[in-house]
Amino acid sequence: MSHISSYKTEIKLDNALSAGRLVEEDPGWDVLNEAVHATAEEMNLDVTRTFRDYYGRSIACDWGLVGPDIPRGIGITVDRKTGEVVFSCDPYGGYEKIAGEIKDRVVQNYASLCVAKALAALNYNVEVDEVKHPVEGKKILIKGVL
Amino acid sequence: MSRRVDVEVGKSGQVKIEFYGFEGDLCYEEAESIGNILRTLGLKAVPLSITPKTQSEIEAEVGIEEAPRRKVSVS
Repeated sequence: MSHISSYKTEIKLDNALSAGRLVEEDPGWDVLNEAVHATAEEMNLDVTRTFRDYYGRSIACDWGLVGPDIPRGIGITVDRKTGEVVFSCDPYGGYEKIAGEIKDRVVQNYASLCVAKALAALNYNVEVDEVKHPVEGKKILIKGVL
Repeated sequence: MSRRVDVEVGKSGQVKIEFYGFEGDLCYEEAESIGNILRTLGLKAVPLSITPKTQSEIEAEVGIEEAPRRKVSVS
């Protein structure tokens, strides 16, 4: 039999932590790095190590994404104790929407990279395609054939 | 028939997976294998729905086997 299943996803880099290693050594760390850089390229953003608040104060993060539409930027930090991935920004002044779009795109790219890697690890031939849905936005289609 | 997995990743990382050409419960085992690898990569996938395909959907995928042909003598 075959079936169709739907999942909601959550990023948590806790595999290395639970083995007593640094979160930077987690297999997901490199995937997140790849997802952030892919998002930067798609949305014309720069990757930094800080973002800013309304008062101009610089806040350190693991990855910052800054661009003309979000000059203060958005920060992505992995909690060193739990592996939780936290997105932060100061949205005052109407930056909630773009910050949400950036977050969604990073999560979407991360999930897509993970799925493609999982299928490849199971020896599937993998093809990745993108479609733009008028309401639901960009969808990433991954086809694996054995 | 070859086995195929089609995955659609939506806006906020919601994932829809469709399995084609798997016999019996093999698709559930494959879903488990994929889920295990995703977990090692830091992606926790929480099931929202799991819908087995209907007999007609499966037949459409694999094609209905033709009945064996009989030889008929024509004289």
